[in-house]
Amino acid sequence: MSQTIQHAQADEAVLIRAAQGGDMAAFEELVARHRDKAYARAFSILRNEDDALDVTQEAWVKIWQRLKQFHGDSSFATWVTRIVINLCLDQLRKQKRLQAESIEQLDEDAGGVERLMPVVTLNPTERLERSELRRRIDEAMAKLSVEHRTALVLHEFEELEYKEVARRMGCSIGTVMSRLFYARRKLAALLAGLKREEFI
Amino acid sequence: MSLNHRPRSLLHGLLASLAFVLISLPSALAATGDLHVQAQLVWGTDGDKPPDPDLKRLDEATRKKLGSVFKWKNYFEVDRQNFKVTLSTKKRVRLSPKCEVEVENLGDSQVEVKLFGEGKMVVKKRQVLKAGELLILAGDDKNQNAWFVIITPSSR
Amino acid sequence: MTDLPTALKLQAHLDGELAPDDAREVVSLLQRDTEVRALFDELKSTRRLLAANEPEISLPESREFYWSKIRRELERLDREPPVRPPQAWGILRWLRLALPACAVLVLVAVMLHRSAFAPGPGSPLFAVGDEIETPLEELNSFTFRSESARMTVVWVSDTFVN
Repeated sequence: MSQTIQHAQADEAVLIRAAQGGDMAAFEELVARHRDKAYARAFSILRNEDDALDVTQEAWVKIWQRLKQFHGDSSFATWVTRIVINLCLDQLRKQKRLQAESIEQLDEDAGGVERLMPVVTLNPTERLERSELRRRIDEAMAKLSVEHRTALVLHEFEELEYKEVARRMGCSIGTVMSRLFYARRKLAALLAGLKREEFI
Repeated sequence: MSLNHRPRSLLHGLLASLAFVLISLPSALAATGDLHVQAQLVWGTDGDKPPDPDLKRLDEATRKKLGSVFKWKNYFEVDRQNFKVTLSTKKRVRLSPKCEVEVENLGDSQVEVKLFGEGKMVVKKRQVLKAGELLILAGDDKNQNAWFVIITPSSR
Repeated sequence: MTDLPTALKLQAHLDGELAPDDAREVVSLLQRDTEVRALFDELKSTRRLLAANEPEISLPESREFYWSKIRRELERLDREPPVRPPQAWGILRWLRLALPACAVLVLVAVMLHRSAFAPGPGSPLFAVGDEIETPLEELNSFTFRSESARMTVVWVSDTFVN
């Protein structure tokens, strides 16, 4: 019990060192502190609760196995998230080729449909509760294709440069730019209340 | 024919047979290391008709196998090549103006397959390829379609 | 209507990914073209909105339950006997140390090793799904196996054949 209390109050660097030395209780505390962020990242990409749970659990196992490779070059949170993202992308690659891709999505990747969308002015003064706004953003993101959403998540939320997004997604920088552009425009349209049919 | 000739002609026959076996045995032994391969370039689509009317529908057995794994409704054969690859050698064949496949016979049913798109190596795969097995190299094509290069051991 | 290349330049400028010369060109365009300006403002608003409002998603399992699954898996892995690499890999490691750190030379070492030791079909060097390479930078591939169809598939992305 006292050990649990100690871990709960311990500095992250102390926990990491202890976990690297094989202290599983310390590792459990690290998992507890970072599990929500890791899960949120996985869910934002995969949009499936079970898949996100599986991927994050797999990630934690890999993190335990690779703990000694963590030298503090980035924050622990960043390191964890990168591993989660890689596993998500692996999962998407396994699933992606066996799933239908709509003509629209291919058109969009080629830079066709999003050019037809009207320019939208997002009303910055609209008084939305923060939680309501986040909920709407989450809903809108769920409506993006997996490629567009992934590009958006990696660039906007993970703050990766185009080149790094391209490397992780296994596509060209041009494709990343195109997907990001489409994702942003569609998101703007959805947040402004426009339905797709209105501008096709 | 006298009775005395029969044993001699029998002996000659036996010797001739033995000679035949001795001559053909090395080539038969060499032939067991050879690999007979079929490479097919196939186009997968949900459309009913291919743009090129010369493309024919894939044979039913292979179509069923692809259909059990992939989502496309129809599969058309673009080209097919049957060739032999002797042990420890490579053979490169062209399946379309932009597609070549090279198969190297590594022995013991092992092959290394390289796919070339417009002269550049796209993918390399090492695989054990036994009778009844398919090795498929595949990817997306334009407009929701897909291409497949199917490598199978074939009978002579 | 703003053409796509210009639109992507606007976006790259917003994201700080544009070369200085192109950035100057975009700034000039923004000053004289209202349609381009409107598109840029939309992209900027969306970007700002997302930056400040990443959706909050909580893990839908309790701490104990979530951890119990991870712990079970770690304990299972701990119980498994360590996988000893076959001698072939040990030799390969020696070759990698002995030769300059160059991918081409490592590949040559693998090929030389293979001919010298000729591992049989059971060797991990020749396992199904092993030894796959996609040398082109813009390509990606993964392998899967269907036992029922007796089929091994290597799927390559971002390429075309015909």
